[in-house]
Amino acid sequence: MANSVVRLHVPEEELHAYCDGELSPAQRVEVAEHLLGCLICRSQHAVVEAVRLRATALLAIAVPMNVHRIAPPTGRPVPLRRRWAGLATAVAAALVGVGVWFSIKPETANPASSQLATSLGVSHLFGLGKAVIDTAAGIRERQLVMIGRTNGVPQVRSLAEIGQRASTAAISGPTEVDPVLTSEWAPTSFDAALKVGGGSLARVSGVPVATVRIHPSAIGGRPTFMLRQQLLDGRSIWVFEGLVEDIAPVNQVLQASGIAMSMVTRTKPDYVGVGADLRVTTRMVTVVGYLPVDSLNALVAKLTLR
Amino acid sequence: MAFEIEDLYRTTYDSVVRFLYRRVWDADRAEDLAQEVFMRALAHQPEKPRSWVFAVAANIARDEARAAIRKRKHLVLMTHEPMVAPAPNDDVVEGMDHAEQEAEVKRALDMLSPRDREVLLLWDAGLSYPEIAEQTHLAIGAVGTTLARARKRLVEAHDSMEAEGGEQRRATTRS
Repeated sequence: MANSVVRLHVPEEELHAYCDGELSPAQRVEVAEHLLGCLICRSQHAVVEAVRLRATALLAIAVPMNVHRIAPPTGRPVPLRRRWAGLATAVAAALVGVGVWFSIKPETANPASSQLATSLGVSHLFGLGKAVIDTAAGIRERQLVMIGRTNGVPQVRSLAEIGQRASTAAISGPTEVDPVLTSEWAPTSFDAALKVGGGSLARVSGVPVATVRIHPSAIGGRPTFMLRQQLLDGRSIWVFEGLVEDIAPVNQVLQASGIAMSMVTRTKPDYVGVGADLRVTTRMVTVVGYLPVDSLNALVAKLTLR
Repeated sequence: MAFEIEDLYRTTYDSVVRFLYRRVWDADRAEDLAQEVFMRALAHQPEKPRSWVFAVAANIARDEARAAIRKRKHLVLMTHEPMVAPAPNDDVVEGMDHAEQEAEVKRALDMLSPRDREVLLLWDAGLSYPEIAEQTHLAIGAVGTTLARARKRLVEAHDSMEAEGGEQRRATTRS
């Protein structure tokens, strides 16, 4: 670009490149200086930014659910441009009223990955005994079902004992024992949790919330929540919501216990840290219960944040 | 630079799946195709792995689209009666909201020219202008122009669908 040519205004495509962080430092300075002094270009810049945000927000709707990998990679490097694009997505989503949505097609956990619990040592992390480690190592399919907890140790039964149905529907009566529990899961009220959660808390709509527990995030983000919701027949379901990094070990413990699980990953990004340390991540919701998997999936479809 | 499939997979897999999903609109298929892309990368060990996987993904998506058209034509010939969608119940209504939003985005994307769509999706997958230029054989300056046009058309197409939907809803309410 020749400096001798005095441009009246910045072309639209250059404003897009400016917003995308794709100009050279010299070009960037030139555009920035021009914007300071040109009302027309400032106005055009706002239009370009709005279009850019809308396009990003629209594309963010069209994402596949990503539920197959129980432990998503952590520490994924995010280029600066994408960080801002992520922020832009969030802002645009709020602006256009897209709001928050869940991936629509929940999937149950892959039983074959149950053995992860032993290899990663998460059972120890969550205060589970050797019995659970042995149990987890023996699971190749979902053969065992946790029916409760005594002194913190999960009590399991084989499906052979409770019938051959590949579900836990055969267990009758109320179930109130939280499937994961350590002293770090602090009891709290729904309203307090809602406040900590920034006004949104994943739960199944239309089912009363019985208890709420909260677990601090290991990476400094919003905490993990565990809501127990009681169905009309007395059975409980648990809704875990947390950053993928925090919820992965929880999922592994749950998986090892053999309880029926259904997971969805929120499509809205979440942010941890500030400034140069800003990381984009997502929150995941896991619904578990002693229910047939199909019933659990139907409940997942009724998840709400409001 | 040594080829590191693990790093490539870790940093690019999600973007590749997202990119493919927006071309084939089937999450499972997108994951299958992404696996195929990385299998080819493993065998090929490309010099510029990041650009390479998206180039291959774009080619695979194009082949897939052609195959889908052939399959659709075949199915139309075989079909005697229209398929009836099952009636929705309360459990799936919330999911349908999202499905509807996604269908609108798909229709809006379909209204773009193939070139505009490809540039837009590549940018959203995280590729830089030079990387997009290399893959699409556009000049770097033309990438900006194409991207600007693509964004504008996507938003306009979506807005016009929203407006049409609003009209239809109002008409239904009046009647």
